[in-house]
Amino acid sequence: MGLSAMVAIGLSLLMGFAGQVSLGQGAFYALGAYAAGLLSVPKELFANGLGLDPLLALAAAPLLTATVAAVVGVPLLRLRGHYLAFATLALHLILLSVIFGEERLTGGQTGLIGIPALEVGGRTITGNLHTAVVWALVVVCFVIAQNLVRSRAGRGLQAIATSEASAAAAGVDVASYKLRLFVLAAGFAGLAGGLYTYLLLYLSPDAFTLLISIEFVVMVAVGGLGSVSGAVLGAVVVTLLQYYLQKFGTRQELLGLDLPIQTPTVARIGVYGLIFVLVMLFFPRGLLPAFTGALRRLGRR
Amino acid sequence: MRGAGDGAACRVEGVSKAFGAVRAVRDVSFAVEPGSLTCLIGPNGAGKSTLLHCISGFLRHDAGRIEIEGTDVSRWPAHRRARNGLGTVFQTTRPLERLDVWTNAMVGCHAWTRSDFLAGILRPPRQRREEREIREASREALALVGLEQRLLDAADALPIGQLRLLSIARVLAQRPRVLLLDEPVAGLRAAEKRQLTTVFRDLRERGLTQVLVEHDMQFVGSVADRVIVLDRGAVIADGPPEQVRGDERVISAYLGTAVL
Repeated sequence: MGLSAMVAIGLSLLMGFAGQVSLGQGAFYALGAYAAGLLSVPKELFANGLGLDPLLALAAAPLLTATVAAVVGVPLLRLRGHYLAFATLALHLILLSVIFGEERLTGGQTGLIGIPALEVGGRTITGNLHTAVVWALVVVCFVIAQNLVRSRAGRGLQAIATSEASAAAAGVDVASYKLRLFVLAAGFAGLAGGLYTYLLLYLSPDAFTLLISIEFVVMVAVGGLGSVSGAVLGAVVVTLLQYYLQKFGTRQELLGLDLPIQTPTVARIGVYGLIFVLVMLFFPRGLLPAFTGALRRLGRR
Repeated sequence: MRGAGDGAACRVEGVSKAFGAVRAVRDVSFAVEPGSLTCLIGPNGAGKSTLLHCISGFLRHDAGRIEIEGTDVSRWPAHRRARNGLGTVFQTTRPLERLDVWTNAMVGCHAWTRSDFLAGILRPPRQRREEREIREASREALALVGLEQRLLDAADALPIGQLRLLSIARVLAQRPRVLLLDEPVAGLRAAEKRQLTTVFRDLRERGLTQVLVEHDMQFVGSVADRVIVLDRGAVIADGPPEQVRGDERVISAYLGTAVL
């Protein structure tokens, strides 16, 4: 949940403030995860592992991801609107085929095992402690995003979302600003990916399907575009929803009726899609703006 | 020659621009004196806006050179020209709808400030000082156009006349020395036009160089020091409004419609 929130914060900067839709945040998440995994898995367990200290690998994950984003971002960000969305989606597809195809590098379908746990000062970071660390870093990302939005650069980014030409007329270097924000958002996703690696200590490509890229967009849209807290709310709501739908779906029977074996999938994808459609229909600006708007109307009475 | 001195605020020399087979601007040359207000007029499709956008940097001209305050900016991208004293107001400038009037004007301050991503995130003292300066400068710019009462109102709540004023406040917050405006009074009511006329006269008093593309001839007659008439991409008349008014070529270009 915290991990999704971290990715969603970065994506909400891209989508909600600079108006750039990316369907490739899942790729950066996966990239961060595999970077952390490959850097820290010992050579004896995996031929291409580097066996670095997990803490160092975790620090390197967002940096490597951001570097990749800086390179691919130059051509990608020349595209606008739907074209950018689909190109970033393609990025995710390419990364997946690399993960599946380059078995010697990534472990392929079997995945990557034997990743050592994160250790700080002799304490192993797992379970609740891991969750606490994740949320602490979510707060850091949140503050970074919030500060950025309310600064000169943030205003420049919002001008880009309204009109690239008028932003340039105010002196904003549009291409460079878009790229820098893309890199920052990828960095957040890379950090979240790295943290994911040290949660499970095992990486499988199945955790990084195309669906996660779409889910991040859903989280941001459901929570509310143009608000960093909305992204966090969206991540929490969507993750909880999926958890309960999954739980509900795996029940054997409902009201005395036997449930078919397809129920988990139907519940997870179908009901979830339905709820997303309903939110967009009734709260097109997202849950958080709808909620604060309702509060304000109540206050006026 | 008018405005031919070396201290020109803006100089256009042999500028041409074609879109495919259409030669929108053909070998246009003129120099604008500092502190003057020049209007570019001409019938529809005369190339006025194209020329304006070549100067602001949103279109790359095919031939010729463009100088701002003596510097050749022909190869500079638009944002670099904006950072060097050139302000542009488009025909339709949408505000940042979710934000208030004040923040909208602050966007203009981008042109002369420096704090970037890292400074925005870490907020060192230098960045906070700059933010205070930005708030002050943008408030002053809003006061110049008479919007200081609406600082905290949502930008999307403004009527069209005030939106136009807001876009002018935003460009003034850039602290430009040369201002380009594309049809600033189009679609405005008489009272709003009068208000803008006062604003442009004030700015002229303050020594700001202004180049306006405009259709509204009454407005042109009331503010312009100099009128340059374009027809089919070329300059056909150039002079003070009263002189251009009687020019036969201008009259025939407008096909006998009452000019000025």
